[in-house]
Amino acid sequence: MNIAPVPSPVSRFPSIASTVPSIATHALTRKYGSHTALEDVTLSVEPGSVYALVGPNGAGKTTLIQLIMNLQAATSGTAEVLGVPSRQIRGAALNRIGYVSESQEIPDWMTIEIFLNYLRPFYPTWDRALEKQLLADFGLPLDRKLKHLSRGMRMKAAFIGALSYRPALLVLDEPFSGLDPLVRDELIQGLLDRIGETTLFLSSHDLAEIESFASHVGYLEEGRLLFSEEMTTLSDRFRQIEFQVDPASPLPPALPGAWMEFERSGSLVRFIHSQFGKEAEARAQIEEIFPTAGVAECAPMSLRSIFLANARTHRTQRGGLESGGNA
Amino acid sequence: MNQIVHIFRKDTRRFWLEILASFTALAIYVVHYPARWNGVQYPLPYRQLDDNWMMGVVVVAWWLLIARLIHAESLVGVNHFWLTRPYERKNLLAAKALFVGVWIYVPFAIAQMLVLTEAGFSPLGRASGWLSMLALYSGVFIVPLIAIAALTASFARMALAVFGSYLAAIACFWIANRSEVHAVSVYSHGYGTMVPYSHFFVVVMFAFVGGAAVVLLQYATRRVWLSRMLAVGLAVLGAGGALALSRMPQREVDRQYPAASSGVAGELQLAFAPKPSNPLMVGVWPNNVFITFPIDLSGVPEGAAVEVDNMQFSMDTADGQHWTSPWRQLNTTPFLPGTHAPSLPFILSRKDYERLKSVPVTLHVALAVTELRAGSATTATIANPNFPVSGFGVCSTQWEEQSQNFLLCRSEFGELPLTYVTAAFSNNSCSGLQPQPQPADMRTFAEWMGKAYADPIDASSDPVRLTFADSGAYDNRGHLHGTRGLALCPGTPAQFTHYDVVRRTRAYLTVPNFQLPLPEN
Repeated sequence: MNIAPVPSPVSRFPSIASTVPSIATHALTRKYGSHTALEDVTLSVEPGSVYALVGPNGAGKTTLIQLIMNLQAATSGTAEVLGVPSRQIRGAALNRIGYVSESQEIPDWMTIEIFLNYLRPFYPTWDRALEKQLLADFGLPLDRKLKHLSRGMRMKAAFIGALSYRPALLVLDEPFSGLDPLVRDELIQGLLDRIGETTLFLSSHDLAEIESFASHVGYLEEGRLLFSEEMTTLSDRFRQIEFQVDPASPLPPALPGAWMEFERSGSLVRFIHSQFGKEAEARAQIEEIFPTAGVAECAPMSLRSIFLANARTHRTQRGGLESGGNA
Repeated sequence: MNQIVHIFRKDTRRFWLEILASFTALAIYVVHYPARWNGVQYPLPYRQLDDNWMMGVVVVAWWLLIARLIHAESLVGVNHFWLTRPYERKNLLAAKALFVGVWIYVPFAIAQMLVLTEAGFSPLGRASGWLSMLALYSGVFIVPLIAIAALTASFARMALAVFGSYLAAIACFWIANRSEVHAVSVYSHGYGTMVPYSHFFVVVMFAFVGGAAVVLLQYATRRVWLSRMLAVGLAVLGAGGALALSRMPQREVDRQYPAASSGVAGELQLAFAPKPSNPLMVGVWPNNVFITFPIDLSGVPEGAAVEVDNMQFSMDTADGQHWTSPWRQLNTTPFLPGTHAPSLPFILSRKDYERLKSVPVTLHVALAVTELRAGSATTATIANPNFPVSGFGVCSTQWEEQSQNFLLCRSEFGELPLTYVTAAFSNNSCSGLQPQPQPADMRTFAEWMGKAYADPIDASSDPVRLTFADSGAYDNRGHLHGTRGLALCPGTPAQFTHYDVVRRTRAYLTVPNFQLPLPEN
């Protein structure tokens, strides 16, 4: 039985090959009274990409996802999902969008079999073969009630319920939170198998888990999107730089804005370059500011180090602004 | 449509236990209900309470079922799995409505059909009765419960909301009653004020339509606070409207009881007639004073009767002070020519009483009366356990398997038509072996049953209404005697005389130099 509603005009999504972004937000803002949970977030998620939204707890990741999924209304700004305004994301519009969240309530009185049997008729594109394959890959017992499953198994069941209809976009809110590494790897493998046909948009505060497969990354801090770009660009842009200088040489009155977490200890100078281009250009810039500088070492950084540096810098700047404002 | 059935099947599978619980409560209700007229170990008032309690259990079972049903796809919060699935909200609402229809309304209708059949009526009953009963249950229980469930996230929160609504309703009644001496209230110490039953039905219909509007808005928009504001706004509006309706008896009297210029009421004669057997009396309470005002009523022609429905008292003093009471309902049986007139009870505040008791006043009494005329008469033979009376209902003189000197009649959906019932008493063995009384010693059962004016929309919470007539025994001179040793025996013919309404009008009495009675020490 197919019980999916007749597609409405808004559900005629562009194909994955479309140039229409899978997700596009413009100046998206959400306020709760005087508290701003999300402020002027503008981002674009390209079809076929794996976009990781990262940031510390309370940064606004879940709020952004709920606005995109039309679970909440934005205070201002707009969002489009697969070309459809987010406020219209309901009913037939959800035929091609998958959603899994760590905090989502599922009908836990159902067995896995009943759960999948219940979901299947909602989706005209449900793929029984894929469902069986995922069941086999994840090793789930069909006759167990969801409420009797471990957290990892429940998440696997939720993944099968979200992947089996081959959604054009899969939105995941902290999908791996609290899972053991084995389950996490299994789920990530399940996602990797879908890359190409499904755009993935996932949030996480664990950088290591998404570093291996995300193609794009956005960083949220206190409701503001500090950057949103390709992973390769991001990796290329950041370098940990170290060099020696004459200990007696004075510090220049101003340092370039792209230099983060600048510190000097005796003759050793260390900072993070956030707009690193070519190594020769960076060295030339260093020699210009520190004429006595020795040969600078430019080391690539892990995603985790980049985000920690950004977080610390942002908080330091904010602290400076607040203390300046209070003064 | 398929999505509707799909969700319905899921819910049915999920809530079979709750469905079973509501069926069990209904089954107990159906089995227990005929005890109302078959007789069990409790006296009638307690039995009535017992039956109401049973229906209360059914309603609580529905509440549980509705809460679980609506909260399965909760409309409050953002973490429910259905919100990110291709549910069409109109289909979701339709699936819930289908569930309520199939598992609440249909079993309820079947249960009431069984009750009607058991009571000796057609299971289909009267269409208007069915409609009013279903509207009553929908407006008072089912739709408001669905609305509250749609606005809450859990059973605990829903219970709080229901409890809060209940307290608010009590507060409304309290407000209505607070100034009952000076204004009109819904209840007033047994003397109901004139609140037409249809007004209550208007409130019920308002709850039904308002609840439905909240449900539709919430399912359409899922904007919880907007829907909650609408619900609270409608509740305040409904409560205010109900209070306003309960305080407009003067207009109702003007509309329903126009002053007579001529006719039967013009021949009605009222007189202030204190007698040793019917004296002017006063009861003084801390805040209120209750006065029993004896009247004599004459001028009712043969073949007619007069029912005093409402009364209003007012007093004027020589120095210009004025006091007037609200219109109050008087629950008495109609007056036949030559029968005793009642005492009229009226209430005034202690403060007004103290102000007026020491001066002579001009007392004005206005009565809103219904003129009645004897219509068709049916003779039915009393039989055990029941005997049908054409155009009336099904009656019984049995209770707890013993014949008694009363008549217990049941009607379907609403009150019996106003009927004067007479029958000859026999000795209570009903065996026919004992000698029957001589004609001079014959005693007659004579009692009014039913209502002259059935409300156009007589909403009923029960499909079968019971009317109990416990007459005294009249001798052939019209004097009243006790019924000890007497019974209405099988085989005795009973005459049921239907009284038709001729019109509604008013009658007045003015008593100059009236002195408010003083309490006896």
